Amino acid sequence: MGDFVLFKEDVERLNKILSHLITESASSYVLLINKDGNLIAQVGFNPRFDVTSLAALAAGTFASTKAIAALIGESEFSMMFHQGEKENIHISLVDEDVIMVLIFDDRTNLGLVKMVAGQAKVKLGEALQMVRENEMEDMMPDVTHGQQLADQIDSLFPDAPKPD
Amino acid sequence: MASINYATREISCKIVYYGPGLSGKTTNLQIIHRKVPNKEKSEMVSLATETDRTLFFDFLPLDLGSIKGFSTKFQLYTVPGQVYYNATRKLVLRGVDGVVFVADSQADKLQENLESFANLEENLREYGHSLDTIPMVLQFNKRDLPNVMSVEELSSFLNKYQSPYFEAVASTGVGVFTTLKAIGKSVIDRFNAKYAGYQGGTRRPPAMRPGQSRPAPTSAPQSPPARPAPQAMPPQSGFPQQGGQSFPGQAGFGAPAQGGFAQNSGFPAPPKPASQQSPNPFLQGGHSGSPGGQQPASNPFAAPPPQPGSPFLNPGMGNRPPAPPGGFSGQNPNIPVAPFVEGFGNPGGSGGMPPRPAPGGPPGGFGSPPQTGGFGSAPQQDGFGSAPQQGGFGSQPQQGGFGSPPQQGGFGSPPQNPFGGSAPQRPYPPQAPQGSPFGSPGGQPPGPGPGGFPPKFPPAGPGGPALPTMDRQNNAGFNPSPFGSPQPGQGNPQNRQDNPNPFGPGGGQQGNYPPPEQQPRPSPFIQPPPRSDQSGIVSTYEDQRQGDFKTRRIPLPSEKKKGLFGGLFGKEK
Repeated sequence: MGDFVLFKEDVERLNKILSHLITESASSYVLLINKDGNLIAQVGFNPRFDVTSLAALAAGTFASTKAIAALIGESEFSMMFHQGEKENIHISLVDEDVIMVLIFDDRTNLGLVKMVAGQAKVKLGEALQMVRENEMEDMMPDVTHGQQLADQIDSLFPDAPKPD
Repeated sequence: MASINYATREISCKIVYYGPGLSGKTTNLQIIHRKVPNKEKSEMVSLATETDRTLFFDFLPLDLGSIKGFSTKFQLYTVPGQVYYNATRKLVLRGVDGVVFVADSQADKLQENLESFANLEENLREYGHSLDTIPMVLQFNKRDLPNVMSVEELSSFLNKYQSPYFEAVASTGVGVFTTLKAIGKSVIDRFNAKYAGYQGGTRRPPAMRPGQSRPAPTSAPQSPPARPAPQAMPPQSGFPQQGGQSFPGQAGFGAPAQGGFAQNSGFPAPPKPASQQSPNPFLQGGHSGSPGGQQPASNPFAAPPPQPGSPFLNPGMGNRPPAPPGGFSGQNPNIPVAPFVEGFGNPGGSGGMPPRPAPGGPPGGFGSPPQTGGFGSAPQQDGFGSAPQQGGFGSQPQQGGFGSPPQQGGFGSPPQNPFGGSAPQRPYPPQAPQGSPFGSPGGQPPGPGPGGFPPKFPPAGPGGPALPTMDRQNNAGFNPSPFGSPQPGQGNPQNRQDNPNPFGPGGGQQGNYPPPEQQPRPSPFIQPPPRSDQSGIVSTYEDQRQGDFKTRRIPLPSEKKKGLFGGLFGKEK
């Protein structure tokens, strides 16, 4: 499995689909994460939650239910739904590595969300396939240098205790 | 594996703290979390038992700030150390970029250390990795306890891979940051080794190599292969790309601090040079699935080429209006949010949510001229909408009635969103440019307003309050400009007839994108969430929710004339 590299056009493509999804399903937020817990794309109204943590936890939830699925003889569950008092979360598998997390409340309903999410999944799958075809050799980086990063960490924690 | 997002210019790496139970993995994260400056702080997530033993994992996102133009984020995870939690350990290890092995230095814990290390190797092997390729740092913790083994001894047992190792007393923070620094450096250096020689972000489109699939795992460090030469690429269907330069549109990364409408997709493309434009610049509709590859060769208003290390370079977005009262403020500039309120229209260059394409017309008001996906934004339009030669509205305010300085017309947007895009059923025929009340034949349609929230509205023209109406059936009275009516004598009625959409006449040219199946479909039974008090539909919906609708007549969409600004500008007389 390679690094997940998103170019601008990839993100645009994904966001178009997600924007459509969120409008059609009247959800409030949608995240696209991979199973490692990395955020791939997100669209929605100003979130009142920590998106990064949500991504990590949703990936964790998905991973743990996969273990449950294995116990009962399934390979994995392709959809999960958590119902809350006001907010609900719909987690579904887009392809073998990517999970879509939809957050919605009582302004819409699960059936609609499921239906629209199902439609979006197909398009997302295609878009993600294009992302995967991004080749490593073409990627760029003027990525950071390790020493710079170390310096950055130093400056971030100026009063960190130093070893003797 | 790491995720690299060129759109948001983020690199995100996953670092897992591994080790036997009670060796201090969670303590490491807690210390880091405690020391993170408040402004950078995010919550640490700990899935622990009642006795504070890690049950699933701890998670701490760490934003290390921007280095070389890329915002570098580490996601620190711990695993549960107990032997019987191996299943969860394995889950957490998925996609790891770097490992910190936290060993307990006490002599009687050596066996546990060794077992845990073997377990780490095995779990990595199941994911197809090994410690040869995954950077690892050893931390010999609890150096303050009396019965510790010497560092040399521990190293001889545990350091099979010649990893750097550090002594630590995690409970007091000693050694914690040294370890973090070391693993961060290793991870990033591995990145560099992997991608060495590929500066500049050049890429070829996947379509040029149809036979290849996703990249195979690359072992690092590898010798840098030759950099692929930039190639001109043929426009792909729906996603035209030109030139080998990947990021001419980087200008739009900007204004993160004002990123009310920021969305990942919101990168206004540089304007096409006039020489490249078709005779009718409005006839480029739907052609802008990905205009990012266009080089603004001759446009002086185009953003200068982005410089590395300047990810937010955005000269054209300078005068971005404040976030609308609806509160799309991107609290985190890196978190893209899409505006969600009806009638905001496409918030321009930020490429936000499309206006809802309901056939009755979005009650939210002016937001949606047909077929351009948002407020008159023409495809290929300069994201900043202010180039005079493009007929931006700033250049002829007496006709356009915009009255706003050109630079406020920013946010011109290529119709990023296919769903707000071309709508063949619209009753507007494509218009000749001269039908535009802006009188900008040969020019681009004016840039859209700043997401529907110009800072100020000039006085409405004699035509009365310039509240938009959504009567799209006959276009009578459809004045999509909230910025003022066209002046009399400019033949506004004529324009209405001829060119009901002065913002984007002809913008409805059916391009190759969006494809037909992505045409907006009405969703008559969905109401948007009530996000703003100013959106007419919101209050309607709230009334319904309160069970109040028996006493209030819910206006039909066609009756909603106030739109977004109904609340602001009073009732129509």
